[in-house]
Amino acid sequence: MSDVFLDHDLLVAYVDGELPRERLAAVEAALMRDAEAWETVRLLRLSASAAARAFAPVLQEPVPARLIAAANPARTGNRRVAGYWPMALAASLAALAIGIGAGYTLRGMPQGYVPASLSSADPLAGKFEAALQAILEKGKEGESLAYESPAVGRGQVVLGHSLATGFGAPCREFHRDETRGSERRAADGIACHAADKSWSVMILPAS
Amino acid sequence: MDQGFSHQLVALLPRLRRFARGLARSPEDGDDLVQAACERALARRDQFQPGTRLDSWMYRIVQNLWIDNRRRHSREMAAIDAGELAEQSAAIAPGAADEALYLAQVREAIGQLPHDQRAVLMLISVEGVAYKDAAEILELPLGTVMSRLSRARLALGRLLEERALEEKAGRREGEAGATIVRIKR
Repeated sequence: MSDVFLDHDLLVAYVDGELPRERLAAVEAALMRDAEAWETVRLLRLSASAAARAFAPVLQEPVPARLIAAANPARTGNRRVAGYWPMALAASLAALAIGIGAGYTLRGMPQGYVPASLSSADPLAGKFEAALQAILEKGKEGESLAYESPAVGRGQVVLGHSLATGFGAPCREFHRDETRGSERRAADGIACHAADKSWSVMILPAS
Repeated sequence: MDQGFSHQLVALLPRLRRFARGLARSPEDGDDLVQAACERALARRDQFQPGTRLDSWMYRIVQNLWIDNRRRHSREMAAIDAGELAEQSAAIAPGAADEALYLAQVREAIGQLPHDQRAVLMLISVEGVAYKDAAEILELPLGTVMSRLSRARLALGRLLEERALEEKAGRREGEAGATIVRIKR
């Protein structure tokens, strides 16, 4: 009854969920009677999962400062790019504080690379982290949230535009204005919502 | 200049780096590619059609630059040498080593695929781009995309399977020899 010819192109489309719905039943029926095709399907699945896993860690790496500067030259000009680091605003606030703390510590270093092992107990960073997370979850554009750590400093996060990136990860711009002692710093950032519901945050150099 | 454009570009950087890493095969070369792509994108900003997908446009720029570069330097170096692999395995905690080494082998195997197959594999199976979008990015007919993809995926699947079998055999022979990883060069 089924005269579907299970060539490799058809099978890869089947594995990747790219077959038109109306062809699915016929292909599955043909597969049931074709052990060799099943073996091909298995290999096509194996390689898809291996390829995705092999490159997944790249997304967690800090993006080198030179790339930020190349993408955002108006803001950075020939200023040193520093204080940029991606971090995961995830369930664990403790883990987040590490990213932020390290960012502060490394501010002013010529490289954007932040060793993950560098930790610092920066209370203001923790407050910023918590404020950012709170406002990202439900904030509207222009909404702001102040944070403070007595004896360290205070700051404010203001939520900016939503960015359509095209890859299904909604991103938000935000602005941070912070005072530590007598030093005041402003920075813009971008937070993108990852598939696992965590936020990936990048802080751009101060304006 | 419109700051929003640059911000969108920044937001895309992690993905562009991942794509470029697979094409160029080394982190440094991949990042060079992304940097050049950003510069080209900003220089040709007016050619971008608002309302179309910036990620597709950027993937295409990365891919085109990669092709240009390859023409210039026809010789490519192996991305992962044995020394680097040994170093990685020393630094990885036991248990994690198996997976990390396996993934390094997967990247190496992908690096050995023919160039046009590798680009299709990276776009679809790593970046998760839909077939028709990949066809548009690479400016190829859909059928060509599918046949390159199926060839790449099958070749990779067979290679990985072969290595897995080799390793199993190696472990059986090598009893207490911890994890013996065989890398065909």
